Amino acid sequence: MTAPRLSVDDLTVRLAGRHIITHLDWTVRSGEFVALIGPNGVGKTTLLRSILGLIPRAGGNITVDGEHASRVRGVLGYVPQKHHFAWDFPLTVEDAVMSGRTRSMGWLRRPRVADWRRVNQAIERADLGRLRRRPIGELSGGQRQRVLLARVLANEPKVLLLDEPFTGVDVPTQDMLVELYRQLAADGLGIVMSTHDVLGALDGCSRICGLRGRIALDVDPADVGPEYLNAWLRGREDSVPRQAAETTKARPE
Amino acid sequence: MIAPWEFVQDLFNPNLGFLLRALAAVVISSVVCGVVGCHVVMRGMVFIGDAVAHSVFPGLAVAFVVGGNMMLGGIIAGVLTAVLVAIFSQNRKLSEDSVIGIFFAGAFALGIVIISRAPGYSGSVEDFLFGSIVGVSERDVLWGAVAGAALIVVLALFDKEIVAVGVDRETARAMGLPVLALDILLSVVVTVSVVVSLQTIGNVLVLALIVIPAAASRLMCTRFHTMMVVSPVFAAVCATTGLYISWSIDLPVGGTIVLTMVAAFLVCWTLTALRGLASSRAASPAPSTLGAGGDSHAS
Repeated sequence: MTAPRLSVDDLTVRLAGRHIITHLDWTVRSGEFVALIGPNGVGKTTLLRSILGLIPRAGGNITVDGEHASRVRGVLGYVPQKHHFAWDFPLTVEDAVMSGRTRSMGWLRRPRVADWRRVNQAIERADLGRLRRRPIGELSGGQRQRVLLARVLANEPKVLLLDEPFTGVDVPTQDMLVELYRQLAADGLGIVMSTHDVLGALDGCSRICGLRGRIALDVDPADVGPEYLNAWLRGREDSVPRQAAETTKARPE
Repeated sequence: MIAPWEFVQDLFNPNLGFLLRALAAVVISSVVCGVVGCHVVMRGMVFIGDAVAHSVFPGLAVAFVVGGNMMLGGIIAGVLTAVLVAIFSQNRKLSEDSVIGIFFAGAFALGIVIISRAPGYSGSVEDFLFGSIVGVSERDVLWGAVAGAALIVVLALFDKEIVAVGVDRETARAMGLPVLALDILLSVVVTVSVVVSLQTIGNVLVLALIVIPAAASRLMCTRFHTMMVVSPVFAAVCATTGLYISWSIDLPVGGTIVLTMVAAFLVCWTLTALRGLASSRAASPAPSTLGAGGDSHAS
């Protein structure tokens, strides 16, 4: 077993006096593509944001490859929900991807050859080569998701945190994105994706974790069925068998 | 109405020295506001621009009453208001525009109260509100040029950080950029550009210099850095045309410049709308030009 890429130890987060996350322990390893599921409002985004240090933690430690995450910020790549990005900004795809390197370039510096090389690699990786000079406002939902991904990849992160990457994305594009995430995981990244889509998580991810204040569910997709996960989301998992019948597990091709 | 070449002759007539100074002042302020406005418009922070424009008023009033430097007074008051808005907006129960509304009205009210205590204030209030182009001195022009150049240098130095925050605050924060400090920096830049333009166009209309050229250039450009060149050029051309019209048929300078900008904006809007229509006709029978060529290669 490889050493953990991302370790979350004893994380507690309070928002407006309410405990959202209590004593959460969690690890994500290199090569894993983890789906983070949970009912609406349970704090999936809060967990991702607190790992990134965007929300103050009431307690706990985040480490990436054994180093405190606050000291090695660039290694955590964050893909926020699409609506956080100002798509009406007059930028081309390559401008947008380069903007991901703002911090790593350093103050008062222009992009150099090394920056362009990383941006070009990220653009190729996200299969945006033909769109690189297109204004971002003209892109479709799936293309926008790939721009956000390329923007993060341009920093060569070790862990990817994806917040609801499939919102407003059609099924073929979703399949294409899942394939891309799997390839990135195979290249050694640890990937966490918050999602509502139980079937998509079963189909694409290598591990499914469920959040209820802490990681209350941690399963291999091969060991559970969609009924069980849906019941788990409603808090009624005791009434449903863990493993799905063969007929319901198979997805139409 | 005088002919354009007569206007040029008047510009270089030694007896009408104020006219050349006026032209320099309007061109400086429109170029500066044209550049700064690109950030204001693309961030959707037009309302905070308006707030800052109004909130310099108490600073001017205090400077007027104590006989201090008006520019400095205005900058201090504007920056103070911008910082207060940035800090109070951190409270999630109040939206930023409510906070802006409170502080900008409050600041303006404070200015009115302060200036009412000063003897002989009424004429000066009018100058603050609507500008007084005839009274522009050589020193004003020089200060405006220095401050304007400084602003453009600051924007160039922090361009990529300010753009990164404007595009996606959440990721900018996750990257470790000091988002609050960059917001305050941009507010300071807006404040200084407002103060530079006060004498020419006045407090009430300065927002037009910030918004209209940037909005018009957004219609014409697909890249932010092109926009930052087109916007000040648009602004300078409109300001010069406005000054010419105002001089030749004796209209108020500020109002005429703004109306010229509005007219030019409408022309740009119509032209880009027609161009959009023509290109969508040319692209038919494809149902949509957006995304149509997009995902196809990916599948």
